Amino acid sequence: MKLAVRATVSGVLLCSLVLVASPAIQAVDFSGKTFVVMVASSPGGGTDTTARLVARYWSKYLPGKPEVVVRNRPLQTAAANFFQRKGRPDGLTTAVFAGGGSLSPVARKASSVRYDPLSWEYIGSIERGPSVQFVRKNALARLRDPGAKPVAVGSAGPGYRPSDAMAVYGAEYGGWNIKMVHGYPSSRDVYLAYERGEVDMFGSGTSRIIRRFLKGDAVALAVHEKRADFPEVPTLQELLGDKLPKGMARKAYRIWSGPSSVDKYFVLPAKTPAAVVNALRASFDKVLADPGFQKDARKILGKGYRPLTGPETKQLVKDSLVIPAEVASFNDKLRTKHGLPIQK
Amino acid sequence: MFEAALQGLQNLLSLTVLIGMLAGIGVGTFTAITPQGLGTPLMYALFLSVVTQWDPLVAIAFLIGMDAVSSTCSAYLPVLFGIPGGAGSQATVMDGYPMGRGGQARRALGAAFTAGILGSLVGTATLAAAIPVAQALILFLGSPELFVVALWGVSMVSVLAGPRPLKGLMAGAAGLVISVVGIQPQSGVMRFVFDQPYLLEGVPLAVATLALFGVPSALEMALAKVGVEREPAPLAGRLLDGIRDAFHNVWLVVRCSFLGVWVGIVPGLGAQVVDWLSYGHAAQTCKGAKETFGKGDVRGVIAPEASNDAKDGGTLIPTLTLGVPGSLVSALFLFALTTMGFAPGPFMLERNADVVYSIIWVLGIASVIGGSLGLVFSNQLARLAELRYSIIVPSILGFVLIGALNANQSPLDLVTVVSFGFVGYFMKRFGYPRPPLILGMILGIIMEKYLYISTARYGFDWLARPSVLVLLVLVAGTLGYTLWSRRERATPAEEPTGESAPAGFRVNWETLLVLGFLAFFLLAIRIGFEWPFIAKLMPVYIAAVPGAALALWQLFRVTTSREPAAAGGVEMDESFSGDLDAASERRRTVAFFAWFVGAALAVWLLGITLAVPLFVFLYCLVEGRERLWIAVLMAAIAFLLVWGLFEGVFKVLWAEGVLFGW
Repeated sequence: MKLAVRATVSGVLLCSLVLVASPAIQAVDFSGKTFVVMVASSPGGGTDTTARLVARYWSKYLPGKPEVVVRNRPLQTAAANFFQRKGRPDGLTTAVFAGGGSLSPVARKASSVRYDPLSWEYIGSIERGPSVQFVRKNALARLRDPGAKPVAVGSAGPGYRPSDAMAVYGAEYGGWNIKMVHGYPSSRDVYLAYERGEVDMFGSGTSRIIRRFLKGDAVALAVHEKRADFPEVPTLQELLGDKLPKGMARKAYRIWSGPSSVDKYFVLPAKTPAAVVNALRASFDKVLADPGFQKDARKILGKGYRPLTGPETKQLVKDSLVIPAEVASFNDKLRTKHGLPIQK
Repeated sequence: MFEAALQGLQNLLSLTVLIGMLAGIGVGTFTAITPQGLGTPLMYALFLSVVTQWDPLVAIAFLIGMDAVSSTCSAYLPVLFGIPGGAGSQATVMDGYPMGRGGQARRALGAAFTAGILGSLVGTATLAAAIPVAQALILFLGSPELFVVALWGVSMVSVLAGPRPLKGLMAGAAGLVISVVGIQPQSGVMRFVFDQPYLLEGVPLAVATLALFGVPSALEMALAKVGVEREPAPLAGRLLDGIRDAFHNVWLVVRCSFLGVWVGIVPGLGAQVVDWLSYGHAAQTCKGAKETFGKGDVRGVIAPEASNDAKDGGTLIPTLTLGVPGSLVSALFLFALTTMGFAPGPFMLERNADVVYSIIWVLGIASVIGGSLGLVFSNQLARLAELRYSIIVPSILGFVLIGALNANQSPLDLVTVVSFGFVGYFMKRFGYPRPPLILGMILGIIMEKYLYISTARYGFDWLARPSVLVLLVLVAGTLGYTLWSRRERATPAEEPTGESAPAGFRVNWETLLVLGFLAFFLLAIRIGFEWPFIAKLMPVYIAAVPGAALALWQLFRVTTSREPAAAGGVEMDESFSGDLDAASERRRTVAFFAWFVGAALAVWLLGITLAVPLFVFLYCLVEGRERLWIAVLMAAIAFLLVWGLFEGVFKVLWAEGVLFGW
């Protein structure tokens, strides 16, 4: 009997030791440590702003309330390579990337890309809101008249932007009479081009910008996904209805406009223990539910911002990275036709 | 508007706002005198989350105060150490550093700060006056007009090439090729990236400039062994002389200030071009510039400093009137305003006109206070120019390495800084002007972008736009005037004879440099030839093909000893004025580069936190033969800067050394 008791007690103790030692079940505690938010951009951009906004509230929800510091590591691809190679799975470093750059097919075609976003653990992401396509009121008639001078559509950067997808699919299946004017270095150059009348149509997902232009001489044509803050704006699919054929065209459209949904995403290195990932996801979710954060986010990111959980973000990343060849080829043909750069 | 302006001033009459502004001025001054990389954008990013919780006027006073002063006080580094003090004060090196080395540091700083204050006031006044009409002006500048403005900037290469047009044009062509490195947004083609993510966003201009100017400046001191073999020039000039110089050249200040405002307003040109354009303008228009520019002419300091400070007012014009930021810093300021509940643009002008004018007032007042503080400190800091080379050289090289690595925290920053250090040395050594290279690197990509957009939008109809025609006439006028004045100035005795030295085949170090240029252009043609037309138009047809032809011609000249005497024009870059014998010069140059490359290697192996203090210590002790305590003190200062300030306070993520897992 004594032996049995001893054996039981020893067994329980051993199990307890194993449980305590096991990182998977061990309570996560960052007390007295420094939690680094590595931002893959220069200070001041949208990614940096979003990261700093979260960082401001993060410490109080992280286990052990560690000091949270933001560190910039410019050059997104280089930063992602670095994170892939050197990121320690201890939960003390998270990286923040912009989906448009790190997941863009054009940027990822470089053989210099040595990171695999699917190997990372996703804490969550923040999206500024689906893109809204604007057109100048006095250009609406031309947009629908194939014989008129085409409406110039401003487009920035080499990436696959959802606003470009809306314009191109609108032209292909909705008969929009457009001409893509591509090559503006940034969105703000496109806004300026619109202001000075160089282009008559463009897209933006930022609430502040949308409101500003809607107060002026622009009308919202379509949005690529429904927005709670602009419920009256139809999605492109609603607008085109059956004109956008089911099957390949719809799939290709969804994929082209997809990566923007993964806007600013927070990740942990591959092989970070599940307990740590879960603790960080929980703390991230709490930050996003904090009334102070929400107030600031509405001011800074606009009312249309949308948080996504870790698993949701990972699924979207998967969807935007694993593209069937025939879908990629379908989109590339459309891009080439409209003078947009393609992934070679 | 008058009531709004008055109310804007009244808004500032509060102790907290004043404290906010002074705090901003303090941070801005500090930013201006630290190595490149710790720039205003980083400071804004660090402070934004804090200040947006403050009273809006206090936050505005802090942010604008910081930005205004970081431009005003950026003359210290170029004058005292010969390294660029920020994006808008690169050209100050050209004459500021020779003045500093010549014992005129106080005068140079006095002129720089006074020109800066005056420039800033012009910028502020223009901003205030432009508020009602600025929108129309900005909207007038479409992509075609921006292309012509960029073209005008590139045409400045002909001015900055000085009396050596062939060498200058070659350097300019090389700059244009380098400018396109990275992904071309228009075609998606990766140009000259060589599978390096580091190059996806282009060659980092700040690193290249730092090396092009900083390394040769340090080498010059190491060659002369200033303070050991050669006495440093005694501090001769006075601060008051510099102040007087600025007022004496008040029209130059005004002209360059308006140029600065103009560049600030034009979205997409960027701060880094403003100083070169005004320097080129001064070189074109100042009397006697041919003999004195590049050798320590105070007007070469006044021009870039006035325009650099005036541009801040210009940059705020699109930010406040349209809500479209003209620079990264103004984008951050815009963000701050938005966070605090303002809606920059027409709405803010309507609803918060007083706050807009408060911003303008703070800009003017902060510049005056910051510039005045700069003047006060100048008297003391000018003495740094008297320090021995054994202290200055490791300091400069340490600054260069810190500034370079802080750009991207990539080991390839070290490759860039070493490569451009060598290029800078060879260019300076053999009289190839560096400013055209920089200008090409800045403007090439801008010109290409707007040419593409203009043609994509308007076909070739844009060439017939009246505004484009007017601007094209101005460009042609600038070029024509430059060429004409060069002819005018070249006396028969100075005319290139083409046979100034006996003909005969020879190969020397310059031959290798020209062969390097030729190989560079041929490689660019070879690589770029397979790209689509829009991707190769600029780098191959506009830059590399003419560049290769120029290099061939120069090769013929160099190898056949047919190098002509300098043609008329302004000497746009200093060259080594060595009085050393060839063997000593060679030995010291090799030793210098061994230290420099060794330091870069040590940073790669050990990480910057250990390597820079170690390098400073060893250089002081071994090369400089300083006393042990001085070497230890210098190393401690370097450590405090890298570890204490950058890493501890500003949370810079330094890459670890490769031995520790880079």
